[in-house]
Amino acid sequence: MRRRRGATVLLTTAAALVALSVFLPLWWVFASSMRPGNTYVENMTPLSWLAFIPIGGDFTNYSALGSGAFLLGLFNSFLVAGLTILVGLAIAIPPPTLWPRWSSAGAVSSSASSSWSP
Amino acid sequence: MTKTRTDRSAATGASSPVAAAGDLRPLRRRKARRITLIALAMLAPALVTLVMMRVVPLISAVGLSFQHVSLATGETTFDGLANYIYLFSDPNFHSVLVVTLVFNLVLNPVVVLVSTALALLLVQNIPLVGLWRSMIFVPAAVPGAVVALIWSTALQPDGLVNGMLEAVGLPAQPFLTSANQAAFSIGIMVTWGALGYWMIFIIAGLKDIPGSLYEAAALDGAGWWRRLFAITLPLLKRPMAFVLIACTVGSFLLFAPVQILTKGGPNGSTNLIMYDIYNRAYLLGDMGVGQAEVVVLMLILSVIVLIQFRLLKEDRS
Repeated sequence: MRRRRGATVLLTTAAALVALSVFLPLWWVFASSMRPGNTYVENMTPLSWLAFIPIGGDFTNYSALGSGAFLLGLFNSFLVAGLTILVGLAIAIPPPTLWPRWSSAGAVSSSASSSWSP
Repeated sequence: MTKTRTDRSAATGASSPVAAAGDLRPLRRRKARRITLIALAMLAPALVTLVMMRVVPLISAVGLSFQHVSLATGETTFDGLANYIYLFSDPNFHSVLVVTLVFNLVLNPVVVLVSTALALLLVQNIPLVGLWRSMIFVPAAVPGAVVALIWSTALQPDGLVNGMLEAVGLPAQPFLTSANQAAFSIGIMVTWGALGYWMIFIIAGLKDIPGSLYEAAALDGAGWWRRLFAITLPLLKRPMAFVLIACTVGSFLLFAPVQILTKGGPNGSTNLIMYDIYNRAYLLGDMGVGQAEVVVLMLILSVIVLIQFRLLKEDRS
């Protein structure tokens, strides 16, 4: 089932178009993040290429993140993620594997590895 | 190592090298019981958590749905079916049910069809296929609340979508502020955030189909459409059923975009059942009615998933 060259070009174009249009909003978020304040709106009506290409932009919005609320939020996120992992592991690892009598036997490694696999 | 192995074979008794002797049996039974206890001990933390996190809240929700919590005194009194009767005689709840069912009847088939179409396209052997797949998958890694924020910016009156519409000469649309377009807009953002995720499951299903079937079909002179309907789609039934069911459950429980963007409005057009539950339980402070609605939602969802399972069950030939 060899495809003709034309079909490959057509399929690739279709895939690229779909992929670009799905990805576009995220790229637009990034491009807009390079415009200080609310100035990204100026490129919307009429739509200009500057809406998608952050030429002339700067990192003002990113440097503003360095203060206060964002850092606290970041810290809280790490805290919650870490605690989730710890509690999840505490529940997922069967306690008998931690008993000393079993820890010297091969049973530990086999039961521990089976509890790891999803 | 050897110790556990003999333990296990003694416990099951299936591959015991020792011939079964009568006086060994009580010993063996005791060992079997010990192994059961060890297994229970190993499962205990997970089971206890499961009960605490799932079963207890479920029972308390059902229990609370038959009770009335007084806002004045905080007293809880048994109320019989009053919450349910109130709920089902409330015209707002009728419109919530209609909105939720219509939203799901449109959204879920669209998600399944579009993700299948994307999977069919992106399972082909084309240049840079990994890049195209990743670009479609990336939105699935964006949290629901952030999806809502991105699209609220893109759909605002002077946002990206209206800018693009005007660039091709179409009039600007109100989107989230219009009762006719708000549910559609939320559907668009949910689809955008979910497509790539479900596409991966369909691609996995497509890769499971043996290539020899296609070779045989090609020898018989079957064209692309024939191969699609005679081989691909029948063999995709299982992954597509999974995607449909999981997607249905997910979109019945949709909450973040409604709460962040429309708060059920305009005019109740996006008042999906999860938001209505939140609204009744926490904004109006009526826990009993809220829990009754949770129970109704669980029942609806069970019935729908049951029907989907029945319809999409493998044909036993």
